[in-house]
Amino acid sequence: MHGEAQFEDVIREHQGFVFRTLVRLTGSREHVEDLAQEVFLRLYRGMESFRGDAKMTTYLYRITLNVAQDEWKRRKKEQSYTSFDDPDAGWEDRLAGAGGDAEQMLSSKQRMAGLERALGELSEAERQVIVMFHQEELTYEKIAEVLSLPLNTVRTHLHRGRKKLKERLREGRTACAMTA
Amino acid sequence: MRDDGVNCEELQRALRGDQVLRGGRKLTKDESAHVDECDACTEMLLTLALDAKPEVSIPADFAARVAAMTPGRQEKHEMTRTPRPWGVISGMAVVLVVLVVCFAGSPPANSWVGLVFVMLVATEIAGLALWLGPKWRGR
Repeated sequence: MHGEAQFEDVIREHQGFVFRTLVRLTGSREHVEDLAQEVFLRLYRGMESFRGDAKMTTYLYRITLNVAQDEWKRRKKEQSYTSFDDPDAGWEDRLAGAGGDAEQMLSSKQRMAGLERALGELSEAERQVIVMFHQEELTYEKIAEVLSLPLNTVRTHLHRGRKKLKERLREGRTACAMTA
Repeated sequence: MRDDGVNCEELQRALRGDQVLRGGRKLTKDESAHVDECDACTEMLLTLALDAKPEVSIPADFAARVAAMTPGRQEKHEMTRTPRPWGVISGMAVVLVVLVVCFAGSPPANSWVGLVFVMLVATEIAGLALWLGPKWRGR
């Protein structure tokens, strides 16, 4: 590659995907701009070896997933060191069903928040497959290529992930109803 | 329709119409309880929620800023800042000396001086080739 202007076009074309995926996979909007920047700089470093746009997008997807995974692990580690006594930790918000009235629990925002929480409890592979399939509308074949997994494994992850989400959403709702 | 009085088709139409997920209207308690019990409605709600793309705000200058940070630009600066013409300069100096010695005095016939000249020229050309070769390839 590739002039600076050309690379800028590549960024413009794919920045939506990168931002959305990072937000969904890390479960937070914090530092998302820094993470997206890291994704594109890594892409630039690897760009010399690409001969086609298809390979480049596959590589971009992989980098995005890797960066999101690293951030996810970092945050989990940080959370494990956070004390319950920490006033800034916001445990009340994180614990399902704490506070809030029953009416609020039925709102779409609560449902979406519950879904984000439930997504965070899935395995890495399940979460990645679900986000790529649903949010980014990638085909099974493309997901298999990006994750270097057999097609059937992708299908299995999607099926299991959806099943777990359904169960966890129902469990969460039941917990909400009991605490309300 | 199940026996809880909620019509699945109507509820799913409302879900598909994005009224619920976008916060246009809240599910009633009965509808919410129905969603928890009815597999088809749960599936529908889950699919719609997962399909929904999270709203993100991307700074307008993000692409330009990141493109400006690419290492390519820094490398170009380094290349123009540190030209190394010493090989060419010394090569040209040797050529000048050889030419002066060859043509200013009497022509060196079959003497050791002639041999040295020839060796000098050969060495100089070889040196230039070795020195400049990788540089030209890099451009």
